[in-house]
Amino acid sequence: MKTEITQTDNTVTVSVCGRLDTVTSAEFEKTLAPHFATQGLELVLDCREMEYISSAGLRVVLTAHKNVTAKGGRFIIRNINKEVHSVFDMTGFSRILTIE
Amino acid sequence: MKKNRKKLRGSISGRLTARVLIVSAIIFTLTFTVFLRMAANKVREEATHKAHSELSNAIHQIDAVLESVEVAIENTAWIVPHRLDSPDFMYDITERLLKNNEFIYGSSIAFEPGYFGSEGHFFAPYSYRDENGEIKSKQLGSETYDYHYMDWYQIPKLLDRPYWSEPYYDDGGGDMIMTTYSKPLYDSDGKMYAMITADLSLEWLTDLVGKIKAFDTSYNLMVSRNSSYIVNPNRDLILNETIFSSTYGDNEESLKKLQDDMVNCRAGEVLRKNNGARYFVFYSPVETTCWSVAIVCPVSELYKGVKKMRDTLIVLGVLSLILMIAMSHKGIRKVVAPIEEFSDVAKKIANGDFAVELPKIRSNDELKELHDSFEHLQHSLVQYIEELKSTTANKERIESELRIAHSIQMGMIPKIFPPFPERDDVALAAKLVPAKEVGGDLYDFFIENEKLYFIIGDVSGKGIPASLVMAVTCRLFRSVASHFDKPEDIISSLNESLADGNDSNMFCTAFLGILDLKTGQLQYCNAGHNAPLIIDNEGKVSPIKVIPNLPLGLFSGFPYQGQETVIDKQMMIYMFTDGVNEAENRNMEQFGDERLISLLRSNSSLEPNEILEKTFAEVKLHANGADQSDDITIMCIKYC
Repeated sequence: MKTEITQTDNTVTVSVCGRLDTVTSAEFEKTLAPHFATQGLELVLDCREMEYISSAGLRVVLTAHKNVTAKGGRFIIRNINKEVHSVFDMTGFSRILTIE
Repeated sequence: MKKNRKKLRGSISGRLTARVLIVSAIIFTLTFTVFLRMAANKVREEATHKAHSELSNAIHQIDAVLESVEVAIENTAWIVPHRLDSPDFMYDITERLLKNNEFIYGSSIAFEPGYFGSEGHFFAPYSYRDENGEIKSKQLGSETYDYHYMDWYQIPKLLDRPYWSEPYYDDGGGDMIMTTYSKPLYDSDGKMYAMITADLSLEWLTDLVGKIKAFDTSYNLMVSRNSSYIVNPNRDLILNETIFSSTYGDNEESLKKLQDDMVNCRAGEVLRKNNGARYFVFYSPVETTCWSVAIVCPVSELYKGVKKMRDTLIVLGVLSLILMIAMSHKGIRKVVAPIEEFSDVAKKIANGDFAVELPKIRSNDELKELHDSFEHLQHSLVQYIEELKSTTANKERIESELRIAHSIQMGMIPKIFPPFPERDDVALAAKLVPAKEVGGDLYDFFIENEKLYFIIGDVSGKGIPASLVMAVTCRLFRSVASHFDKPEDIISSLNESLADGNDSNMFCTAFLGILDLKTGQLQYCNAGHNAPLIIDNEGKVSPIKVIPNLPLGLFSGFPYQGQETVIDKQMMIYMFTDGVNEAENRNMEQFGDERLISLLRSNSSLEPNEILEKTFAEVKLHANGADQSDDITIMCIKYC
């Protein structure tokens, strides 16, 4: 898995490329964690090149969602593919996350 | 002894010694060869110089004699025309010539036929030395000895100049080899009227040439203008053979050059091969008579000194090589000995003796580096082994704890199948295989009041963190399930407990159902879990319609919605965690929902436990040796 971060004003876009599984989730969480403390941040997760997400990955996504929204920010998921979307649907995550 | 020999052959010292030996032998051989060749050339140069100086000395002496004869004739000939009035005086002239020159054996003044009418057709006064050395005179010409046709008379007459005759064997007087010098005498009209001659014995010449001793075993030859041998150790050849007749059949280049040079009065030297032996022939001409004097020297004689030198050098070379091998082998052995000791040390270290004493190295070179490296190796190994021991102990402790944790976890889920052997209205099979020692999957079930309560769940992640949440969820289900009638109430209760203080956002997906065994009514609530599959008695496989809700433990107070359906007899509820459909092979290809459904469809007539085993076998087949990436759990319930 590779991540790429672009930052403009109050928006941080994290592009994920590859598989977000048990092993890579820990690294992914470390990548996101520094932005959790920012007030009113718009954190965008670009999943155009995300191939797979496991339950451990879901946990990190949810942690990000909870932290960012707790600070008055927005957590947005973009460009998720069909497989990843069905995981979000099945677990009910698509109901609480902002997926564009 | 045997061991030592083997050591030498296969050892560094052996190889180095062999290399030193080979290189030295090559250098020695090259040096000796060049040296010997130079020595041989020098010897040959000096031999040539010496031979030619001997030859030149001899020729000088010969020339002196020949010249003295020529001078004697010259000093006498002038008298003849003044005394032509007295034919008898001619005897006085010839006698005086002999008295004045000891080399002259005989002398005549031979006149043209009938020059003196009074003396007749033949008139040739002749003086000679008899066997006692007395000088005698006589008239030479006669009907039986017509000197006018003799070579000594004819040739100079025709040539119009003085002439040295070919050597000849004089069997008349002294039984010796002679040569005759003839000088024509001319009158005032330039007409030749007489021939004055001097016979010269060649005995002195044989002595002179024979005495040249240029080399120990050399011998000398002399050949005439016509190539006849005049001097030859083999006396039979003298005057009987020529350098052409005696070598008939030999066409070698060196011989041709020799013959050509001798015939044309040239000096030189050639290397001749004759009957396997090789000879140097040095030769030089006597200009006056065009005779050639030659020194023949066997090559072996010439190179005797060089050969001796060569033998000495070979002996010396071999001796020095032996000495060199002995010294260098000893030296190299001394140098490489520590390597063998290091080898032994390495073996001892390999056997666990880390404290083994290293060989002492006093030199400050590569061996010292090796020594230091070994020392470093020893220290590092000791340290590493200590660390390893501690790590291993830790690992063993953790592993042991994990083993215990595994058995505790497995003890939390029902593991006796069939679980309800006394009942014929339900058949149930379930199996959980964690990816590691402990996992986050769970299942549980029990019957109370003719109702079957069951749950299957999957905690996010895996390993120890997941196992803790799994344990909590399992225990909560057991303790709270029977207090509620509706699955959504049980799920909500579990959610509240799990969400409380869940700072790490761990969550658990779950499917919880209550099957009324009397009516077949199924109440269920899904908390973000995969939708279970219903297998009907016709082999149709379809997912149960589920509201996803949310996994347990995320949001306190989340309103979980329950659902219900009716299960017909012979239908099966097949529940699984994502370890099944997302099982991967080495190419990261997932097992997939389609394959699972098709597998169930073709095995719908089997009993729950058989379907379960089928699924595990098929998943294993798909993984094809790839590590199990997630916990796998299946629970299958058949309503009868």
